[in-house]
Amino acid sequence: MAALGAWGSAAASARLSRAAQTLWGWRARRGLGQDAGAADAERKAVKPSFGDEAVQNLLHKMTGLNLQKVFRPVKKELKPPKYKLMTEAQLEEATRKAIEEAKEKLIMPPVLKEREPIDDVLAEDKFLEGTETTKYVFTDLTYSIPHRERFIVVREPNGVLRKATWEERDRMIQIFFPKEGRRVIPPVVFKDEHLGTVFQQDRHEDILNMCIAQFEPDSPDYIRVHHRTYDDIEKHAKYDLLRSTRHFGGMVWYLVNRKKTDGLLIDTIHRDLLDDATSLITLYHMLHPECQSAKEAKEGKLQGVDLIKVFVKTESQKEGYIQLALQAYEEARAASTAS
Amino acid sequence: LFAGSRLLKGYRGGHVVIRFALGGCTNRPFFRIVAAHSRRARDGKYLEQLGCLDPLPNAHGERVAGLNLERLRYWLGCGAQLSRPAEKLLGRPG
Repeated sequence: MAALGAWGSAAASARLSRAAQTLWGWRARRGLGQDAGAADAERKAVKPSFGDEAVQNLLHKMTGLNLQKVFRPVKKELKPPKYKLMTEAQLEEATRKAIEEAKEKLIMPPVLKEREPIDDVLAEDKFLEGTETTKYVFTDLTYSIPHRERFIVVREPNGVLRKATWEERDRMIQIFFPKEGRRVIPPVVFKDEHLGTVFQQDRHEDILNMCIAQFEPDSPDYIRVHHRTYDDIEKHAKYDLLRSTRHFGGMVWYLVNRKKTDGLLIDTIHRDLLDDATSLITLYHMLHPECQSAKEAKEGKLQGVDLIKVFVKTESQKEGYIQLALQAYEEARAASTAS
Repeated sequence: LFAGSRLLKGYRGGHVVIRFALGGCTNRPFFRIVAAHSRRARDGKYLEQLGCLDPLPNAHGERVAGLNLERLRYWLGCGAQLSRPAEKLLGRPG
């Protein structure tokens, strides 16, 4: 289990740029196309989607940039550490480059709707019935076609020629064009009973990396695993596990869409990250503009702690906890300014 | 093109065919769909591999076949002929 986890994360970080290119390529085509279509259709109720710039900026700010955690050493062969002697300027240069690389590593994987099952019959040839006993799966191996547009057809023993389902497609593409970090048959870890064991070991990040490597972002399995992980994190308030990783944005998006933001808010206030708390509430207002706190905020143009107070009064379920946390934060701030 | 494979063999006559080349181990056949001269050995030097066929059904009960359609069109356009089993295979997906 440990070996699996380490290998998964190493492989994931190693081929991030390739995955990013493939993922972002068709996300740009599909996701932004959908947004443009929706915006044109209804001018009034335009819900911001995951890909909007403003949303992405907010989520990126909230993810934080803990260099120690992002570049945490992945388990590789043991080598003695190398020491370099640098001047101040060189050190700054090195830190700047490290920040750039960390930003690249923190690019969030896309959040999409579930894909529709393919159900297209191309031909029905009754005269072929009974000629053979098994299915035939034909894959088009032309190298320059993107995987989404490949023809993968199945000829059933009863003569029906149909397009292959998504699972068959993924399997065939993995057989003929293997991608690093994917298996032909998805590992057993992704079943619900085994996800529980993974969560007990606090390895949410590893399992999410493995999930990104294995599944397409709009497959139902990918979405199910991600939702399960986010639910478990929210149940046990383990937000810090994902804080400086690229999954944080997705988790925040999920929670805000389902209005379960209280635990996260308490956690941010406990860690004295008021900016994060305000950006969380701004995101909430962007996504649910019809709620009361959003209207009040727009009228009063509130900032900072007032925004949080208004939000707490109107929207949250765990009012008491958040009030307590806010009080503790303000006392701590007063104490530090006094001393 | 017919004297194209100039390394060693040159023939008299013969044409390009698209046929199956058998590979794999004992009791485990595996066909490669291949464009080759008709006079060549079945498993010998071919011009290009255009795909493969696994005649034994896998864990999901399917017989997996891959076809490089773009190159197939090229060879068929060049005037290659098909063997009987190759015709049957290519006739299935339509």
